Amino acid sequence: MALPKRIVKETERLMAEPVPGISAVPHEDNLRYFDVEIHGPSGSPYEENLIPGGIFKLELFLPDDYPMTPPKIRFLTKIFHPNVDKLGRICLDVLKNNWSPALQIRTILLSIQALLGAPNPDDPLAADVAKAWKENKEAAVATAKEWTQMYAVEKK
Amino acid sequence: MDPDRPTKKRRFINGPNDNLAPRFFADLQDDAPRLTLATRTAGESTNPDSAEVPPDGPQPFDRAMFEAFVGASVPDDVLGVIRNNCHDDIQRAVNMYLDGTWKKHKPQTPKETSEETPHMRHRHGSMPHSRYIGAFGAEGWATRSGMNIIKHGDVVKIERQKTQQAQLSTAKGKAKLGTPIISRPNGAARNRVDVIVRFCTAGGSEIGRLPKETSSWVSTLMDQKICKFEGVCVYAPGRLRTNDTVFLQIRCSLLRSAFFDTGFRLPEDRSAPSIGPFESQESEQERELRLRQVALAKLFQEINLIPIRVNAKAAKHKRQGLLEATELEEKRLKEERANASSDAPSSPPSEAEDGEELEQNQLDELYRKAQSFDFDTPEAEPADSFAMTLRPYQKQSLHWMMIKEIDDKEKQREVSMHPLWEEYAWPTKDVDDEEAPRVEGQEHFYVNPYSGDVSLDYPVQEQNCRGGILADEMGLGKTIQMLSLVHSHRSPVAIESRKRVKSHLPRLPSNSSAILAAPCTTLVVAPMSLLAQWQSETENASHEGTIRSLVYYGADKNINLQSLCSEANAASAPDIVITSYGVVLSEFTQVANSLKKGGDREGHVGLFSVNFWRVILDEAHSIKNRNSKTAKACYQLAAEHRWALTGTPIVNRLEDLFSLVRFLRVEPWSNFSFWRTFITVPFESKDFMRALDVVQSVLEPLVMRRTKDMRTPDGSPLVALPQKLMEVVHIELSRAERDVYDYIYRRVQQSFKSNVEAGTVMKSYTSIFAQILRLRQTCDHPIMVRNQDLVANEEDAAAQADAAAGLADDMDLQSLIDRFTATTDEGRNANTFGAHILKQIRDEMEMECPVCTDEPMAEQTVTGCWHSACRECLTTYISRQNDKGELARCFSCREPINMRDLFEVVRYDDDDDDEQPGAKAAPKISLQRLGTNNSSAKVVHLMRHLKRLRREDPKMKSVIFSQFTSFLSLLEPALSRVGVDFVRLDGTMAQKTRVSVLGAFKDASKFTVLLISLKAGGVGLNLTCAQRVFMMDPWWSFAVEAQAIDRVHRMGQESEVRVYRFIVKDSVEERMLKVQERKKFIASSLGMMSQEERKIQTMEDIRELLS
Repeated sequence: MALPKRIVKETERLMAEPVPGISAVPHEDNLRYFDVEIHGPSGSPYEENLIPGGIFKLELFLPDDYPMTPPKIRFLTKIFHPNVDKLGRICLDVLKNNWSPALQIRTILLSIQALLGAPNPDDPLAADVAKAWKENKEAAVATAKEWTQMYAVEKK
Repeated sequence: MDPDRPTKKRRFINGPNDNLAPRFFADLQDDAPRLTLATRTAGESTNPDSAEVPPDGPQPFDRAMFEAFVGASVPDDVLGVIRNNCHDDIQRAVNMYLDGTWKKHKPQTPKETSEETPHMRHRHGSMPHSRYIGAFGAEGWATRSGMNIIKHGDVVKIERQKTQQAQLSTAKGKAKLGTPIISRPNGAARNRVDVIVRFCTAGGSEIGRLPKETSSWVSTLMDQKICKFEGVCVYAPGRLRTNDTVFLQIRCSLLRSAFFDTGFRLPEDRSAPSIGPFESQESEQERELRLRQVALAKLFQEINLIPIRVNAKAAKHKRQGLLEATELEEKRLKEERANASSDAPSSPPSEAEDGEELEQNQLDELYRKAQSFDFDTPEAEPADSFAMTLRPYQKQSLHWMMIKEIDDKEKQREVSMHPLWEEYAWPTKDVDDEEAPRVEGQEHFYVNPYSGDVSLDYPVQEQNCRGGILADEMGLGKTIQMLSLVHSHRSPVAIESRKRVKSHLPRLPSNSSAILAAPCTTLVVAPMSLLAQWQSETENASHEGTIRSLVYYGADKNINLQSLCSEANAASAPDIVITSYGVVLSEFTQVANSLKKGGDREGHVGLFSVNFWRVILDEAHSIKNRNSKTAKACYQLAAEHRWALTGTPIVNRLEDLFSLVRFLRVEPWSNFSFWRTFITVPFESKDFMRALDVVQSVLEPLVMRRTKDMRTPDGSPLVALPQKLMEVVHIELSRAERDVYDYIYRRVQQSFKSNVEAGTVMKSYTSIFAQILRLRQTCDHPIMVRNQDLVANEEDAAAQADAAAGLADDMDLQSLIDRFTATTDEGRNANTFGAHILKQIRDEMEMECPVCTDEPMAEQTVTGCWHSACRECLTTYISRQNDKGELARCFSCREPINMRDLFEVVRYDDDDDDEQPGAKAAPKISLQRLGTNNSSAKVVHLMRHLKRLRREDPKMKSVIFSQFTSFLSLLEPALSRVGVDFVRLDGTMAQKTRVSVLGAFKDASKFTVLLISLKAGGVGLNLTCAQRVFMMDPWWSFAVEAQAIDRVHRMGQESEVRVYRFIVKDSVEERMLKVQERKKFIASSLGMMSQEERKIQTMEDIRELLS
């Protein structure tokens, strides 16, 4: 199947004007499949005081009927976050019911980056993480930092 | 023939056809009327030298007597005309002279006399009153009894007895009207012709009669004054009783009058256009001719006279073929009569086209043969005054045409025998082996078995045809080729007049009643819609001032063609006069009527008053029916050179070609009897190869035909036309439309089924077709089924059919249509928005679609919350949401949205684009509610297509064909709504309007659409300024659609042409495509409702349509 013009355009634009802190590179053999890296937003447990900050790998796939259906996306890097389960799946409304064809890869990734900066334990995907977050936010944030250090920071 | 042993009947009739004659004539004699009988001797009554002229017979023509009657000496030429036209009747001659009718014969006679009569006249002097040609035996039967009435060796007189009544009234009719109109006995009387032939003693008392089979033809020969018969008794019983057989030997002599009296029976009486409109008269004439042919053929067979020379082409089976042909005709007549008596108001026979239809493969074969175009034909360069460049193949045809026009005059010197005639030697010995009287210098005589003419003079092959048929396929530039001929071959007079300074004043011709030569003028007869095109092409093809053209039509007709085109006026005469078939017909009728009323053509100064230099029939298949009045009118146009242009010389019958050949006056083929004998009869008796071979031999010297797919020897195409891409666009009906369609479909199917069950399919043929018509209309637009204003003059039958099928006031159907109308929302316009909204939308216009990122948006559509996207992106998105059972929300602001609240942005941006290329003025827009449907599926699809096209190519011109003018009317508002400029051409328009419409379309500089009805635009038009064709609905035969498409895809087209055929999925239209593929032409049978067979075949097609 020929690649829709929209996907081509989006890819070109992601390359030409990359979003700071986000990169998305399509696979050569499958242009609908992207390797994504998101830098943890500053001030969040996924970035704070870490040099270099956490870099989270994700995979993104554009289904055949994209943009009528949202892209499929999940974290490859382990992350301690109430809206991400241990398989890396993300709970984000714009990836589900609130998807609109006017949204794009770029906007979705920005949403995910924002989600990292503002975890929402009231709408959890990982119930245990959310519980920990609610009961003892500081401990949870510390765990998140720890995990980031452990999984999302390149060891020198 | 052995007269001594007349015992076996078998011996009296020779040859393989001995059973033909009795059968053939039997019915003629059966009910012969017994009116007042008077006996006269046919042989004597016509003898101009005879002193004993019976007082009641027409007096033969004699100059002295004639001058005595009119009381003045008459000039030789006038006398000649009268002599040729009075049919040897002095009374008529006098009338002709006194009332001036002879004048109308005058114009033609110079030609005809120069070719035929003079040599005949010269020799009549030496021809004795009659001359022996042979003898035969006959078994007469006695009507008397007695002793020694007749014995061996007695001479008996052979006499005719005829009903005198009819003869008398005929003579009176002539006298009163003073024109050569033969009053026709009513149909019944005509068929009861008395053929009794008696034999009498030398004293004149009757002994008996000749047997039917002999008298049938003997009577014809005697009545028509061709032969004289004398009998000798071979054997008779000594005691004669009534009904006894008397064996006779009958000696036959050709009468001098047979050689003299030719004019009247000329099968093509071209000199008098008055013949044309009187169907009955012509058929009377034809019948007489037929009898004469058969009688002569029988005679020669009986006396065993064999031609010593015949034309090789016609040699074999000639006589037999002739008899067969005649018999066939007779049978047909009988059937007709039987039909006529069984159901009284039957259609007149002249309406029906005769001849069988050609199968497609036969037609292909024929064309294939006729197309063996020789690429080595020399080329000719057009004259300098011709402003266009010809392609090589056009130069070749120019050369060919010039040869055809110029060469034949030289050829005429070549003396070869006319192909129709046979040469016979006068017998030197008679039946008793005695010397027959000889005439010095006359060893031979000539017989034309097809016209029944006899002649003493060597019949020279006439090169009557000075033209031909240019049958190039559409789009090869027939018009241009003809125009190059007009430029390149002018008459000597025309050339002379061009050299001279135009100083002398035009003089009016002195005698306006005659046909005058128009040596500079070519007459072009074309369908009305093509008149303007001929004129403009003429202008384009000529350097300025080299050609004067004149459109002779409508109000422009008010001129005196005769004086305008006359030789005296040569310096300023028009070179080309362009007129329509309709004008030809109406002037023909006018002339014929004035002749009928006893006047002459005096005062007629139109088309029939001049002898043109050349006449060209464009789209000459218009005259394919030789019985149509138009065809007859065209035959009568006088011209030196005659050309027929047609892409289809044979439409579906071999007889189609005959009409062209007759127009061209190609001897011998313009003689229908000859044509029948060698083409129609073999064809109808399934001897296809023979018939087609003959047709080919007719076509070969006459026709130039090239096709578009021909290739030159080096393999390059004849004409490199740009590509043509055809695409079938499958249309899905909306729900509401589908409901209407299905409803009607079920009704039609039901009514068809019940008709089949009741066995009344044939009866309700028309109604079934009309119902199918409804179905097809529904595919275009459901409203067409009902809307009376729109359908008003489309098909009357359809309305009746609706009544029959119960569709007329069917509430269910009405509600379905209403429901459809409700969804269409065509009337409302959602332009009640604030200016700022419009501005915002307009600003977004050039932006990319948020969904597909197309730039600019394809058919920008806005939501109720004023967010724009491509129409398709938006609707797909909404329907996806709906399918998932979710509430659709705006892609941008997440407001709930729905299909009913979408508005399409209509831009009027093709104005002023050129004038201000720099300052890009913001285009005007308006919003158009996007319903579930805008109109019918087809309309919506078309508009979408056009809008996309306009975006891609803002100068493109398109042609939209539909066979329903009411559908065109529905398209008009739809086009206005999306802001597409359009013009319209249909059959109701006057010629002037058509011209301006076509002009407007051609000159339009922006995106324009031509709406055109299939019927009005099928032929001839040149629409090469367009590159897109939309066929809105299929026709039964693709050929018709192809013709329409070729209006655009023809010579002069410089770009690729794309054709979109709109076909509704799962509908009667899809099945029509299948029917088209099977090459079954219901179309041809539609015009032929009377033909049961074709109906049945058509029914099969309908069955398939409704399956």
